[in-house]
Amino acid sequence: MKPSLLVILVGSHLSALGAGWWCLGKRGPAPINIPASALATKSERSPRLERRVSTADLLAAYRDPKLRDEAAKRRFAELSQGELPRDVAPSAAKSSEQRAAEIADIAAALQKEVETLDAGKRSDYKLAKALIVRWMKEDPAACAAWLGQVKMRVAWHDLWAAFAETLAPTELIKLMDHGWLQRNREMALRASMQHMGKTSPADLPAALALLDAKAVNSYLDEAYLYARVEDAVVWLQLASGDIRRLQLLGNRWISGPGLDWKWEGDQLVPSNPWDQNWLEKAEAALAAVTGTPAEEIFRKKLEYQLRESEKGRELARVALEPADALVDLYLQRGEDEAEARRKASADIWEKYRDGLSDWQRESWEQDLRLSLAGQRELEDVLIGRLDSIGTELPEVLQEVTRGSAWRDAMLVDSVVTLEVARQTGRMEEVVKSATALVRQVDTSLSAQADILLALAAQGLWEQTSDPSESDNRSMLPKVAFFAAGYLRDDPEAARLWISRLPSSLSQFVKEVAR
Amino acid sequence: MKAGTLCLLLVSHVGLLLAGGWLAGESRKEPARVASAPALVVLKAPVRATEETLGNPILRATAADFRAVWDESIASPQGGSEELFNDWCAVDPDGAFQALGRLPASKSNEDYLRAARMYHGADVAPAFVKHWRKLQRMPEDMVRFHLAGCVNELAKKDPETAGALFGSLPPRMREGGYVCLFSRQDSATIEQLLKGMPSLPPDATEEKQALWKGVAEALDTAGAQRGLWEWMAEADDTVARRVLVTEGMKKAGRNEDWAGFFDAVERMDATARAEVRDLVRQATSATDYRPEALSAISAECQRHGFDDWLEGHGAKKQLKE
Repeated sequence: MKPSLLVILVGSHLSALGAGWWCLGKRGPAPINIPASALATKSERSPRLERRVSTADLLAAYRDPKLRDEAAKRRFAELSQGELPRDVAPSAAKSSEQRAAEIADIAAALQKEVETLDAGKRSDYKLAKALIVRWMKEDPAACAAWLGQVKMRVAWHDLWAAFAETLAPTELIKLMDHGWLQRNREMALRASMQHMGKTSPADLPAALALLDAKAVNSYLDEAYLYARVEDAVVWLQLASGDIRRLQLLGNRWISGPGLDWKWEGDQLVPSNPWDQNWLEKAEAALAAVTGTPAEEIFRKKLEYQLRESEKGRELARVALEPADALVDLYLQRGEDEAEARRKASADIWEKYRDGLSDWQRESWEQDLRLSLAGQRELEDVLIGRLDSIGTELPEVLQEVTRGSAWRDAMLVDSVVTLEVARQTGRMEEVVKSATALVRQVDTSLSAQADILLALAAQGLWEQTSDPSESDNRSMLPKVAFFAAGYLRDDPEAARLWISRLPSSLSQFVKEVAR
Repeated sequence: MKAGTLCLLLVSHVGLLLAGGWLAGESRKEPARVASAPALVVLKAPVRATEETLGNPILRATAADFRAVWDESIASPQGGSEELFNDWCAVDPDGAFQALGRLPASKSNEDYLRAARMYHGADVAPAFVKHWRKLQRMPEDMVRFHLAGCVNELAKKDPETAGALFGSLPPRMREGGYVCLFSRQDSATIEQLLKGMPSLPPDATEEKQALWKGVAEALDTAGAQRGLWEWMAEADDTVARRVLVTEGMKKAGRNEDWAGFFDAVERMDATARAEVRDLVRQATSATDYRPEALSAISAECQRHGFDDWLEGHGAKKQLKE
């Protein structure tokens, strides 16, 4: 080959390489494009105004247990780090001296918590927990040694939970075997079992193999308390032949809403969201044990739960109907008439005592949210609520339920609320609710001001200039007194408020101010 | 040139062309990661932007995304969601807190504030301070408690800013919040916090009392005994001194240790000491100190040459007898 040809060949190959670099490198798969803002701290991250995720996708993500779990884990991870005091916050690179100093700081901070408790003060459990997690990451043996000798305190369960979450269970048990947890071995084992029960029952056999039979017997139940039906196979295998532990699993997996039901629109649903699909869960558990000795245990459990929840459902239904229906229910169960009546009224009393002011609360709150968002008129929403109270609730319960509706509505728009009360002829009732709200120390000053302004506009908040002539009827604050407080708290809003008062009142305020 | 050679040349050129493209892609990935590294060093919590997390819409969502979903979810029967609010706070506390202002009164409202304080504390403090008035449908005590709690968290990082933020609240909000604000802060942080706050007008006695009670309570933790008495000795405001002395006496009584208390009194000037004398007289005659405590106080008084401090008390006791 001629040298000139060689030069041409080398040159052309090099230029091919260069051309590839230049052209394909740009167009090729872009490097993970993470905007700097996504990596910055929460406070550094400026709000992004453009859309990145569609509303449907994000809503779906919040319904997806896996994605929610991932988000929750990250929130928690950020939280555990965020709680560390500045002096022990992890730094990117640190020397062994720095590390030793940090560990000393953590130990000192924990010791301070102990002293705080000993002095009869409240301890910061969140902080203590974060310190344990951090220490376990840096030096598990030293942390376990400290935890192993410390005198146990009430409510220090969190510390042990933190401890158990940081290392694999078998590693934790090895730590204990090194004698680093002698005094508090029990707490450590308990926490570790609970953690395994919650997250990784598959790790249990290996961990149990490291323990003596006595320890297994004493602490294994802790793990069962957290058994998830999704891991049924592992659990049933572990408990096979052990009736008591199978009972534990049955209790945990077959648990219905019992008496806790509520109305959602015109449907009765379990009040606890956890119970929404209890039957599905229970049936899955039953299916998992079919053909095994546990089947009988699980089936009985399910029958009992079905009966209980039927009773609860019926109770919730008849709570809104004549009590006779409930009495009938007891009669059908063989109670005599007197006993049935007594039980029925006890049940109703209990149900009502829970607060019928909360009656159909969810849909009422939804309506209020919609009216705050401008999607529905408060007037319609409120009239609808008053109507259903009038037609669906026993008379004796109507006033208290209306009272709470007035208060809620008043906080959304007091002018409209008063107008609805005027239209429906319930002025006295609404003034009572308004007065209660204004007098309540917890009501925000601006809400009080709004309500007072609305009352004043209707001539329901009048002041006499004669201080001896106090207005006992309304129990509302004196206008000058209220204005002074409002001016101190929020001068700008207060001045606007004064200018909007009926002239007699604003004149009065100005005179007093002078 | 033979066809075979031509083919070989073509293949080798195309190969190198592709290799160049690949190399360029690789080398660009690196700087991208390195460039964002400094931000990670100061992170409160490193955000693991792996492809896995980026696949999760919740972790990718922007302020605008959260707002849209929030608007949709408050129209549903369940209403907003604490989780959603919590995630929104991480990217846009301002927007999230404004959204809370559009909720009616409800028992579940506290869940939002609690989550914000617990998960974001310091990070949401400025937004919380800015928008708390919009939460007018929520119980004020509850709002105050969580607001002061967030500023308390901020104070652990940047006490002066926290002091200024808290100072920007109106008196009604501040007064009940001091205990929360100072809770568990150390002496140096409290000093910085106070430095950040605008000074109170001389006639704001009640607020000053609340403030110094909060300070005393924070200082009065185990191992901080000296802290409280040092602050007492150095107080240059009558109200502050009155509160710190009262709390100091409670502490000395509880711990049966009066030496530190009277050592601090000795370091005060004559006017301040006269005030303390009156307070000690009042306290010893009004409070049921046990005889041992009274004799301990009396011994300390004598040691410091405050011989006449308990005279009034003695006279009263005798009269009673």
